[in-house]
Amino acid sequence: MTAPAPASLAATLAAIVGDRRVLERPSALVAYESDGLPGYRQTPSLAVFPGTRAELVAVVRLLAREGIPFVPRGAGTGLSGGSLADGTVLIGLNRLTRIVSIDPVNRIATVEPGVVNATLQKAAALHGLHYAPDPSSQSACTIGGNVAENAGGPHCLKYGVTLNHTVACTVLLPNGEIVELGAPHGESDGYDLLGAFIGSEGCFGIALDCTVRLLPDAPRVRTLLADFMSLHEAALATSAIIASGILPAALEMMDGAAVRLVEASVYAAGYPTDCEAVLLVDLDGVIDGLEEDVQAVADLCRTHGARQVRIAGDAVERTLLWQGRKKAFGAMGRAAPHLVLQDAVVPRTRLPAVLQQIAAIGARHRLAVWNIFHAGDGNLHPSVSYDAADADEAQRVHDCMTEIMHVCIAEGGTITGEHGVGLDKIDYMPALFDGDTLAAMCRLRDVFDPEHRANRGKVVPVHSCREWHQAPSARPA
Amino acid sequence: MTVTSPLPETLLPATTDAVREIVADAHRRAEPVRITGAGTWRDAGAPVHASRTLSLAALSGIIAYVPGDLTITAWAGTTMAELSQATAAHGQWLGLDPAGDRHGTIGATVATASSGPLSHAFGTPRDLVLGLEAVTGYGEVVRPGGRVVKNVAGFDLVRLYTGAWGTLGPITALTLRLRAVPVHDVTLAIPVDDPSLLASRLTALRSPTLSLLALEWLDGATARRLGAGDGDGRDVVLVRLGGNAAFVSGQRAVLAALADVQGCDPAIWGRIATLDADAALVLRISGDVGALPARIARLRTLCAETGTPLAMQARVHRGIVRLVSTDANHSLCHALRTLPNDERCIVERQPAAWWSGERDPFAGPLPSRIRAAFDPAIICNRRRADDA
Repeated sequence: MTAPAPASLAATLAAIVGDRRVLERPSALVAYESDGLPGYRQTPSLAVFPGTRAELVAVVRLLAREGIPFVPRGAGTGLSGGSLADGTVLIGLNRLTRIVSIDPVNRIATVEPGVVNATLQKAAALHGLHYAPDPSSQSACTIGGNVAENAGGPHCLKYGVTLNHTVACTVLLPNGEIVELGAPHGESDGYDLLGAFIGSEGCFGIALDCTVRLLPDAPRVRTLLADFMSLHEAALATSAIIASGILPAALEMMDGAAVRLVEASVYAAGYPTDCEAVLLVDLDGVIDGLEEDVQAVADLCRTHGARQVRIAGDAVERTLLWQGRKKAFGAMGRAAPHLVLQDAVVPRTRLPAVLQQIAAIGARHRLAVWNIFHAGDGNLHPSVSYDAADADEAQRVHDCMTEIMHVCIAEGGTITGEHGVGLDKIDYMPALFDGDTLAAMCRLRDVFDPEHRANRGKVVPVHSCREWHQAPSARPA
Repeated sequence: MTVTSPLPETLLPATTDAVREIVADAHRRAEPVRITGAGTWRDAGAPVHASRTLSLAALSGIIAYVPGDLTITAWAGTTMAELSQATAAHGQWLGLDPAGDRHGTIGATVATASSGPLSHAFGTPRDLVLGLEAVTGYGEVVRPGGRVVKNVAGFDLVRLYTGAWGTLGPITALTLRLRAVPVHDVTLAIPVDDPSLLASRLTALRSPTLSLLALEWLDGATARRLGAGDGDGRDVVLVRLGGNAAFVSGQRAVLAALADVQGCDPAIWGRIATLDADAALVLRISGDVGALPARIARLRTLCAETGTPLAMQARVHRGIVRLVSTDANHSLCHALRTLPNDERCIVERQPAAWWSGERDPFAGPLPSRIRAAFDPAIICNRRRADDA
């Protein structure tokens, strides 16, 4: 079928969602050229913003009838270029913001995909509950986007990522079919299609609604800040805490350069500026036995070289200590026009060695690499502020990050712990997975989207999918 | 190819490559194979049609274990007992206690997505498997996921193979998340005097002031048989606590303020796991957590009406009632499965003849397409429904 000319497509979409909800002028589409990751710009052919579930279904079914590719987008806070649409239709989901239900007995909530993570948190808090995944962008990012990326956050160390907290989704497949994956109540059997959908980065369809698990608020939370005179000692302390079996709710690390940047900003949290690393640790749970764990973690930090361990005395101090961590990337953004924030994971015992290698790689490329990351998970976020207009510096940043990613793979790690592959990591996929594994991933995508219209060109390199229409048995041995 | 055959129809490959060759050969010849672990749970699930059995039992052992990372990689045929032994030496455990004895394999546990009472704290296999190696029905080896605790690289074949019952091909190796064994691990029994009070009791036990490893309900007769509670026929709620000394003593006090709390032999958990050893019928009925007491009451009435002895246990946090009977009473089974709209029934075990006409969880448009993408000839664990 021949796709209609853009003008007539816009008119047909406008008939579904209203004139004001279809953008086609280049000046209006500029806002959708990028996501939270600098370095990639792609312009959609048009952007459409359905305001109801029925409008969304009608839009996707129209695109299916016309054979037109599309890219779903939540708040656009992603950090892998995953929601960029290159000359295709962008479907904005940020108007689907209804919290359908909160069930405090079963501790679940059903929400539309455009509900902002922090909005759900506020609604759940009225019942003494919360939604565990807490990405740094939680004040803006959406639950639909979190599900698409299998998002994490600092407190996922103890409580798990989006996969562990999503029990059902109603999914609109790219061909316009609606399927129920998982179950809000009771057990599911058969293939874990919900598990396959979570983290599929918009390639398998769009969640019309997501049912997520809510957790009761912990009766007590204790926050510790330990500062070290070397990054290596902080990494050793991290490994020791994990190995001890005490499971903090969060275990975050910031290096000295990042600390100084934060302290020089409006987000100053009172971190010691003469240290080379801090560990920020949350321990939570029932009151019984918690203080013993707090003391044990403090002792482990001291044993591994902590200069001082500060334990927040009250909620105000706790919030202040976390402000430094949560706003660190905002502080970095002030240092230069652009910030690249990488995402990789290594086995936790390899953290000390990998951090040393990252420092050496940065020095070799004459770049200051900041480390602010989820140390307890081994989830690194090496970051560099730079000026993308400086071609030499931009190239050095690219080369530096590429080397770091290959070090993480070589150390038994992976290329993304929570940001997704998107466009940014796609070239690393063959270094991580062999051809048969990538081809099997392609076949899984084929099940959900045989026409490859949803977020095409993302996650798995196209050349890995050459076997899509060729059974493995037919391939040469 | 390292394959030994103690039984004419059973192949025991000892390497991934040998597994791959067997499956690739079966694919070429379109000859179905039955995939098993140690074969301890062979009568569970729908009957499989195959002329040969591919057992993963010889593909066993620990591949990599770094205690400091709290992860372990093992071949699929490694038994749960072997995993426990290896991890216990470092004060760690897997946190997965499926039904069956400990000679069952980790591969079969993950392939069937089996879990037990510890799922209250640690979740099910989908929450614990970090990566795996598997062979597709084409005879390709795939290695999705990884050995790190957080990973979103690529489409999630790990979740797809978890709970696929071998229908996409055998799992050959797994990487799993471990936990530290708690310093103190205490099991307590709380008798329920009056079943009408169960709802308020369970609500209290789900309070945020309690942090439990397991919360399991047993009917009175089963509790007596397994040695939980006074043995006076009262239903019992079992609670498992794990943590430091201050935690356990504090939580005991919280529980004591709620109810009459009795000590209990921790071996009860092993006895619960093997409750179904001689069973002819095992069903799990689940739904709304808040409606669990009503679900228990309804199912209990049905059992009383037919006079069939039936052990009942309930996994409180997921609203699951598990029914175990040595007597496969067809009319009872039919009655039990007449469910309210929002409940679901999963059959673990029933007489082979009853499976015809059973809902096939791997059928339907999307599951059929998944199957076709990974095992188009339907050679891996082919079921009666697949023949149709």
